Amino acid sequence: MSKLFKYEFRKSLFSKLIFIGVTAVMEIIYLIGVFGEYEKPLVLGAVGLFFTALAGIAFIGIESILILYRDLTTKQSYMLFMTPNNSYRILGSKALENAFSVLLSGIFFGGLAALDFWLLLKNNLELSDIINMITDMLHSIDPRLEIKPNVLAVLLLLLLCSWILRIVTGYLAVVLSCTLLSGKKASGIISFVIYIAISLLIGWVSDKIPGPKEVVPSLAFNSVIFLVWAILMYFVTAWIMDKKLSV
Amino acid sequence: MMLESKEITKVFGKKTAVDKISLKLSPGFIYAMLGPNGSGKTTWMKMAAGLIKPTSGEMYYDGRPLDVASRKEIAYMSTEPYFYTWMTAGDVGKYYQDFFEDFSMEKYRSLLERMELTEDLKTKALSSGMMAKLKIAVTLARDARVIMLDEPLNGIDLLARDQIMKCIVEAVAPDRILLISSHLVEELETVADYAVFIKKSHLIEVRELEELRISEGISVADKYRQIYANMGGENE
Amino acid sequence: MKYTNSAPIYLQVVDSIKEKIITGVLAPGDRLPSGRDLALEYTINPNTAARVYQTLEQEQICYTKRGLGTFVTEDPERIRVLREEMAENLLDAFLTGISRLGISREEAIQMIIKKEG
Repeated sequence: MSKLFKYEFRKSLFSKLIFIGVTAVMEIIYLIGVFGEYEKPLVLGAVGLFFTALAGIAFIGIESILILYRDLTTKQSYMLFMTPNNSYRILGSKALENAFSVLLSGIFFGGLAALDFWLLLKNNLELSDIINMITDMLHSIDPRLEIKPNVLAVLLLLLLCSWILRIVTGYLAVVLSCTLLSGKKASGIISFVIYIAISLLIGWVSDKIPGPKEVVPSLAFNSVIFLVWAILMYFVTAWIMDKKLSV
Repeated sequence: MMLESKEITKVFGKKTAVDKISLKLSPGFIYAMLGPNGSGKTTWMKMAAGLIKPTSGEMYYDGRPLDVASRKEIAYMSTEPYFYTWMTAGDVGKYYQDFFEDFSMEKYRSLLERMELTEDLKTKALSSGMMAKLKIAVTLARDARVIMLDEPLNGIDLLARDQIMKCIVEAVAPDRILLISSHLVEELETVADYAVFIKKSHLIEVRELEELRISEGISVADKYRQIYANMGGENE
Repeated sequence: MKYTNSAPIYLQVVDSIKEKIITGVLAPGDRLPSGRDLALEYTINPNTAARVYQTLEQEQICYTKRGLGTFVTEDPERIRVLREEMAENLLDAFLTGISRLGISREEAIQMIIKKEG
């Protein structure tokens, strides 16, 4: 499976390099702001880095679904389905590669952000200003949130799990549409419609499940629910691929 | 180590591409799968490769229903190019080496040389003839028990054709099934043991080529004309 | 090699080898290519190549030494007979063709002499 993983990584290498390139440019602008004490480049760089990080992580996920779509609808599908690997491995390597890439990007951007804040702290701002900034950001998501290690950790877990769920939902939508339409032109749009339908269904069912009320346990509980859904859908998707899908 | 389809059928929407074909292929022989374009040859091969799931009926390899493990011993070359666009000819070889235990890099290199290709060639930039040769080289570099080549002579000039026919003849082994599809009937005339005639998604008959010449005094091309004579525009 | 459409491939290859023996391209006692090499030389199926040697052996034009290969017969008498057989075959084909055109044997002989001159 490490070999499948390797080639999955290779497929998205180009866009990853582009994001690293954009990040480098933004970082340079930011550093000019920090060390030159210019306000404009500092703000531009910080905002640029923030959006590059968001777009980068979002794109890695979406690209993984697009790659699966291409792997199923073009002749390149033979490259995967000719090999003696079952669909559980093929899909598993895709999901793992994606989770790994998202996690790695998270660590990369998080680390970079910590470094950049530290530089800013050393050169310009007070720590309290930064903490206020982050608190404001968190409050815009949910007013109950505070900067505590356990809250941040569970929030990250929730983000990762919900993201994985979205990706796997995308996989299922693409596989379903390709199986039903066997590679006809509209299958891209149909995939999207199926994606929305499955997401709504999952949301509806998840809301019916009672969970804890306090912030941290409820976020943790939701993470687990998301993960269970993701695993369930992974098996359903791979089963359809193995039994029904023609490429 | 037979490859066998039992009443295998594939329906795409409203079109039946393969209609209840029962066919048994035995090791040691070259089978020429003949028929005009669109008659169902490719669909049958893709079902044997496990790429297409039959609507009904089943494919058997070595007496058991075809599964993922069968792909270890079955090599399939499609007509269309299918390599990742970022690959060089060398990358294609590495990919096969990564996934197929029966692949020999040494054999691949020697086949590339005979096809007048080099490992640094980018697949994206290959002409259709060069791509066809690359596909054949990488497929025949596998020591597979079943080798299926779908239209291997498409887009290939006369001189390269001779080279490819030689490679195919060399690939014959007592424990290997070779299945080659073509609408260029004459090209396979001398090398094939059996001709499998497919017409409008049906299997018409399987004939031994030499027996056809002995008993009926006709070549496979003559037989082809008999079978497909009244198909008009669909015939090539 | 160009093959005709009606005769079995293996017989056409057999004839080609016989011709080589009669014309001296292959000398008595010469080693013939292996089945696989013969298949490559004539671009024929290896099973057909095996059948070629089987036929040549049955007609005692070749013989096989176990582990060493197939060789052209060293019997000059067999080669002489082979030459006659092949000439006869050609002659038969010629006569059948010419009589189909309604040309008498005498006329045909005159035509051959004229052609030669």
